[in-house]
Amino acid sequence: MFKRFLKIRSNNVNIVFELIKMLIVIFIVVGIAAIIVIVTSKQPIQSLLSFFIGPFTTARRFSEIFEAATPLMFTGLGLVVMLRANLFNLAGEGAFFLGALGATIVAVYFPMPGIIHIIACLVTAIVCGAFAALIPAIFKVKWGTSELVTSLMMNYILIYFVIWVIGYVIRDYSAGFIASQEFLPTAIIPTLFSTGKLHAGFIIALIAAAIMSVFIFYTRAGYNVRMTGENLNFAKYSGINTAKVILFVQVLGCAIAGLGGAVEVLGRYDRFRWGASPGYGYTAVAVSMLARKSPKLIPAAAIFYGYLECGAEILGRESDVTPEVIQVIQAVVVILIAAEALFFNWRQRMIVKATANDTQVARSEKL
Amino acid sequence: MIQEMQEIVKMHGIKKVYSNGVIACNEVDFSAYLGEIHAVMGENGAGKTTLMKILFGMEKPDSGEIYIKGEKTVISSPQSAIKNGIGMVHQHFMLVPSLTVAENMMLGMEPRKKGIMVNYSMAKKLTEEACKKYNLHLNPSEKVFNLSVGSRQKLEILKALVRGAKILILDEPTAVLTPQETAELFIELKKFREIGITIIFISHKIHEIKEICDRITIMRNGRVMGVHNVSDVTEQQISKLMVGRDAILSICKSKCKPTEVVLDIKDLICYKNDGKVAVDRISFSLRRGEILGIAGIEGNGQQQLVEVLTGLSSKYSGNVKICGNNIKNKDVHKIRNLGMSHIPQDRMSFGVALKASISDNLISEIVQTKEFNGRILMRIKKIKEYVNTAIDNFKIKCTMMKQPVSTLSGGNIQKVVVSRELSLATPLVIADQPTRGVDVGASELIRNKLVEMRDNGSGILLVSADLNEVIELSDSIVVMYGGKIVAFIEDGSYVSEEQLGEYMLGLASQSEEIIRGVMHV
Repeated sequence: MFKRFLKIRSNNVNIVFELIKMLIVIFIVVGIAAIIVIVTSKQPIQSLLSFFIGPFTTARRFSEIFEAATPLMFTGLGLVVMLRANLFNLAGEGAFFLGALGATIVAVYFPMPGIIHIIACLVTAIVCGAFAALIPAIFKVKWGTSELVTSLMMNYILIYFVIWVIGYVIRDYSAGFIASQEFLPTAIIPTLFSTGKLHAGFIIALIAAAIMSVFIFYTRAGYNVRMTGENLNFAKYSGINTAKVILFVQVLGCAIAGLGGAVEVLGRYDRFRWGASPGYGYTAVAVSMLARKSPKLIPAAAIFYGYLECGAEILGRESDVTPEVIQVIQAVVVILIAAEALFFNWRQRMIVKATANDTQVARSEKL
Repeated sequence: MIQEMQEIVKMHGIKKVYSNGVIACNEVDFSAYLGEIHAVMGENGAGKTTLMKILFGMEKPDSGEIYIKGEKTVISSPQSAIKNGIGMVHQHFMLVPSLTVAENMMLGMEPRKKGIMVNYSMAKKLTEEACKKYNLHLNPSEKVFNLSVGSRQKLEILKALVRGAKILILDEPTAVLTPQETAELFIELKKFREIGITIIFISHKIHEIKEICDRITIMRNGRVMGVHNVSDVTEQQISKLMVGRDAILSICKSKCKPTEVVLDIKDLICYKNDGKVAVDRISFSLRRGEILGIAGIEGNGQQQLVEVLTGLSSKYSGNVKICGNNIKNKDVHKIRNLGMSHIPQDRMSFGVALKASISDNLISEIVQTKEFNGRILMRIKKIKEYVNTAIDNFKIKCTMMKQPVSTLSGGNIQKVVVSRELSLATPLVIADQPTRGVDVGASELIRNKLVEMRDNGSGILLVSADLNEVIELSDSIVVMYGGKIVAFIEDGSYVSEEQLGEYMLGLASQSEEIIRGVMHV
């Protein structure tokens, strides 16, 4: 009993270290944001307050944090699943957009009763998302083509295809701007609270994160995905059909991103009104790194991002600082989190100290 | 033998703790004299490889000092070690497989044409000269991925020598060599000693140490158990210091009782990646309840044979039947389902996923079965029980099952592999170098488990470069040379190492009639 306690001790160092490192990273990010604001703003104190405290000042703003986090949860989740199989596929960007288009078409042209309409929209979006993954996935399996390159190319095709469909095929010319017709009211995802626009899609995202956590760590298919990612040779040698895994996991990841597109468009808008892709598929890279490739941590990472974006938006409205600042901050986050070796020496010293304690206690136990 | 007792290397108070909290070296003192062959001996996980990695600048000690020729030296990287005249040949090779022998040899010190372009013909020539000088024969223009493990090791030794090593660290150099090659290597090592090169020789093999080493440092659990003149201690004493008990040097096994044929191979021809024939029309069969050893110098077709039998390669013609089913067009999963398990030669790249946990590495087979899966989820509780039993049964030295496999010692990693493969109790087990580079204790455990499998009715195909292992473990032995079976010894206990060596080197072969004896159908 006592022995077990001892053994865990030096392992705790790693967990403590990860937590402290995360805090330091967040602290540095906040610091750099502050410096940028102080340099670019004429009333820096005012600006800083609206950036950091702003999101918490009204219920409506607070709700915006979670609204902004919702689409990132889906694209982040989709990417994390693919990263687990060691596949860096960014087709989530195109899948999200295509999913939104699929949902729009069902929402505008296929009247159905209540909840069934929403479900039909979501299923359509899932199928559209999965379709977006097909070409990179099949190329990868058949010829070993880099999924990163093909998925980036694919995104151009998908995004401009969607823009063309909205602009020329199903455009509502009476709207005065490029947009689809209004969704039928049955298709709109209901909001959760009377203030703010937080909608049921957030709940769907949480459920998706839970399902994916279970999938990755507690199912056979998830195990096969992880082993394929850890060591392809080992997976093949063990008899795992790696080609199938590689195909399946990309389809799954992009399907989740596609679902995100539907949830976003039906939850926050009355019609499809994007003239360009909102870029959630790319932001997913930062989110999944922040979440350390863990589906469980995706909601927290996405909410942190939502907070940064919400703050930036308020900053843009209330002060002379432009919301582009957020992009600088996002870049800083990615760079700092990606620096795996950060503080390595310090951790090593902590571990040495911890083992010294361990052996000391072990000795006294012997006596 | 030692003319001067000048201390060329001294390591004092070396401590190294790995990031998982494992203390690999604890206040270790080590010293070697100029021009001696100094053995470092200990079980896997005793800390000897770590100690040598510190000396070679690959690991940073947490405390302690290193003195080279009496001067305190900080060795921060392999580059600075090489500058200080230290060379190391690793247990797991550090070569670029897609480059040729000559390119690997000259990596980082390429001869130049007019100072810019790499002079490849010069590189080839220098390589040839080095091969000749050190009597290790390699083809300079062969790509390294085509080389057998044995040849790769030769290249590694040559690489260190060419870089002017005065202190040469050899991490289990003989593990992959045949007796003849080992004898050759020892002659070379003795020559190096005469010209004043210090050799640090890591090994598990007591008789080798007795044969060529002057002094021995014995390690156990990260500590030094003693430094002795080899002539002053007996093999039994060494083995006692090393494992803390008297290692039993032979396996007790009863006579085999073979039953029906489990693996049946007819007219099998296997091809290498480049299309060359590696296995040249061989036929043999293996029955349940027997261990058939395949002896042979590496690179005589064993690797390709195993790849075909295990489904990792489909470049072959002929018929292979496992439990009566032809494996044609079947993938690894289907072949495993026919009743095959496989202990792979290269455990680091095929046997385990290094960063994954011990638990994940142990369950890769059982997790695919119905027994360990509910309708949707895996049966976590059952899996945990299974993993705990496996860790206990095979005495895998670890702190917890969620620990990454990469934090284990070589012997314990192999125990993970063997435990996973044997626990399925398949009728056919293909054991490819099951104890290479594994310490005495773990080797014994693994060998006994193989015999236990045999007694429980499995047929075991043992491919091994370790002749002792082949002779000790096998009921019958076939010898492969140049892709063919050149000898079949029905009763493996009546053959000498020398006799097998002759077959392995192609100096002798048996008549086809005798070889046909290995067909039991």
